[in-house]
Amino acid sequence: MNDPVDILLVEDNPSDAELTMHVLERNNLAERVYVVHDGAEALDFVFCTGDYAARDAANPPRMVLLDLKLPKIDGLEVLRRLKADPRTHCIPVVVFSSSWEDRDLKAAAELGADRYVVKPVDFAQFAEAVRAVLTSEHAAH
Amino acid sequence: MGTDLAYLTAIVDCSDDAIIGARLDGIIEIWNPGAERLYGYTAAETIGRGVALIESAEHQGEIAGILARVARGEIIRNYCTRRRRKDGTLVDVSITVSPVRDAEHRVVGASAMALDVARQAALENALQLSEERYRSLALASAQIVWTKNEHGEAADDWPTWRAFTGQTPAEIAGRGWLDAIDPGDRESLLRVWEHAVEHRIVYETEYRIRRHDGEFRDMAVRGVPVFDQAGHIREWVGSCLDITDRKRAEEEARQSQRELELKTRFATIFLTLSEHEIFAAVLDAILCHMESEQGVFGYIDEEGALVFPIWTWGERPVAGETIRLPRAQWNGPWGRALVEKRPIYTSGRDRSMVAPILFQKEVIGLFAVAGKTIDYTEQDKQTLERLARDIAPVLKSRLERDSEERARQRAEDEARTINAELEERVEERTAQLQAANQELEAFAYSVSHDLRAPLRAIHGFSRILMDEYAPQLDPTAQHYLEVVRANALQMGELIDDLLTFARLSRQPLEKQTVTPAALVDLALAELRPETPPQAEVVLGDLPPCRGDRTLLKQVFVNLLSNAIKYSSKRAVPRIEIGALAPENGSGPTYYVRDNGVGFDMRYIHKLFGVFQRLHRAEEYQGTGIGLATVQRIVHRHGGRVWAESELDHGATFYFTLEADR
Repeated sequence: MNDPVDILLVEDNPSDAELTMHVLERNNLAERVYVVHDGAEALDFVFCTGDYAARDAANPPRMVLLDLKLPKIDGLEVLRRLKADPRTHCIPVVVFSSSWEDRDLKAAAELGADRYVVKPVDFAQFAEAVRAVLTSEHAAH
Repeated sequence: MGTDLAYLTAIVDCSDDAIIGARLDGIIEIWNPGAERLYGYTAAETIGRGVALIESAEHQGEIAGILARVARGEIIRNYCTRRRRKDGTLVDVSITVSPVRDAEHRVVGASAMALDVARQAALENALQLSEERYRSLALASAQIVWTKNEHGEAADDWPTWRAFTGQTPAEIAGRGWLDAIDPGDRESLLRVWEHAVEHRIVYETEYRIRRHDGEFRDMAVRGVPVFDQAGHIREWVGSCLDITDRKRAEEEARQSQRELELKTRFATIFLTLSEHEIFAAVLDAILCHMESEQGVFGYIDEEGALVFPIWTWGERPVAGETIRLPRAQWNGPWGRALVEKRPIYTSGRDRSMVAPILFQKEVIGLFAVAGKTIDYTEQDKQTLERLARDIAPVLKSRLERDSEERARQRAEDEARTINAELEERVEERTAQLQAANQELEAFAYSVSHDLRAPLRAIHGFSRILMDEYAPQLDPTAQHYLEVVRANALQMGELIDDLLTFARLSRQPLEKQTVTPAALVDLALAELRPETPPQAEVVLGDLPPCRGDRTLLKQVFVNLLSNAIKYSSKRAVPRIEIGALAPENGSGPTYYVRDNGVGFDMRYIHKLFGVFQRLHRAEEYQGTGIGLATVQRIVHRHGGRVWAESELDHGATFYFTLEADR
């Protein structure tokens, strides 16, 4: 649980999770991917609370792949809390949605999402986007 | 004696009669102004001369004879003879000659008084004539003349009184004439007369005399006292003038004056007061005018009921309460007056007058008065009827005005109710619509996320199969997999198009001035991948318009996409975009024309429906949502879309947007 994590994938749909994992694996990006299945679990993971209270807060994920439509706490709320907290607001968040809805796009941008990717995507394109975020995050460090 | 002489001289000088004094020998000693007037000689011409001077020729020596008789102490009275004037004319005179004696009683002279007989006769004639004339005049005129003695008794015959009253002289005699005077007036007459007697003055009064036909007539009376030499009232002369007609005329004039005032008052009342005040004020005026205690003034309302806004009647003086009597309750004199359209009068203890108010033979109201101290007179009846006639037009116009006012008020109230209901309904519908919209939105949102997820899985996993496991699959399996993928793609497109279509309903229009040519360029660029390279695209002149840029671009995308699709099998596909000249103030009509397969106009009603396709999917791909989307966008702009085509000869799609204003 305290292993370093590169990507936190927040996805409730197992098919989508599996597809995403497949793409990341094929592109050698899934070595340190951790999957959570709803918004509450995602927040617990990041802030080391609840089931993840034992986690080391000094080791946050390098990026968050965030679905919007999530059980318990939805993706936009997770995004808001991540970006509102000084401990986590630097973690890049790629919003990964099946929606073309304007309001989702706008809300995500306003809350500080780093990228917005609509599912389904071209596998190669998607992998490239993730890689770009991770790289720029590296550069920032 | 000296005083006596002076006294006598004064008498002689002042007398109107001719007085001559002469000695017994005929020498003239006295000649007064009367003698001068009679005979023409002055005193200076006669005194000292013989009296024979005035003797006429035919009576020569007569004076000497008279003087001889006087000398013997004889008095000659009213002796008629003829004398000669200075101018020679003759004059008939009547003379009275008396002896004049000295202190010893001896006759020393004669005094003669002469009267001009002709003048005397003329005077007497004139007097008689005057008296006769006076009597005739008195008889001929309405004037009654009378003379009474100092006791107020008839002094002589009163022919004019007799003629007027029919009393006989015997009935008049004494104070009998009083019988002809109205008993009610006698006392006041006596008072006036006694006052006049006491103060010895003329009296004037009025009383009523019973005429010969029994009718009492009003008389103006004037009595003048005649005094004797001692200053006592000797008699009364007077006159009575019949002033009945004059009084009646005056009364009528006064009455019309009062009625005129009343009419003016009515007009003012009706013009200035409110409905309730009007009825009170009019009734007040009527009661005052008719000297009545009680009354009602009502009108007939629109439902034919008699309405009394004001009521002071019988045991029920009602204030501030409107009484309404439907026709079924019309009874008694009021009901009769209304139904029979005529006034009803009752006399005696329950005396009353009821007059219907008629306007053009239609009953519009009612007046009733009661409680006068005496019975209502014929005049009262006429007055009330006149007032009812006078008030009819004003009441009518007032009622009409009120009725119009009420109708207007009703219409306004109705309109207000309808408006309120309408607003309520609109609010209700709006709320329902908003709720429906919200539901739809939630549904669409959910669809856009959830419906796509399984598709994504189908698509994604079949792709992995194709990419990574193809060698392990035989060609049939690979084909089936391809079909699965194609259908998944198709379904994805359907979902996307449906979501776009749904979004059009809820997304607000952002109107601005748009250059359609620019939108067409964008659309063509977007459609480049599916446009055959040999296609001819002709862009005509497209006037600007107002609309939502994004949505209008969608219109062009959909129409051009169709045009490209259905002309793609032509050797040279030709697509024309243009605009028709605007007609009478409307905005431009844009069109997109192709030379493609066209469609059968019989199915045009299906053209713009969702999921309606006129071509089989194998021939031309499509979701059947494109034209429905075009129609929705155009309609939301307030415009119109239609199409013309002939099978196999291309199609033209037209659309307009709402005129700028």
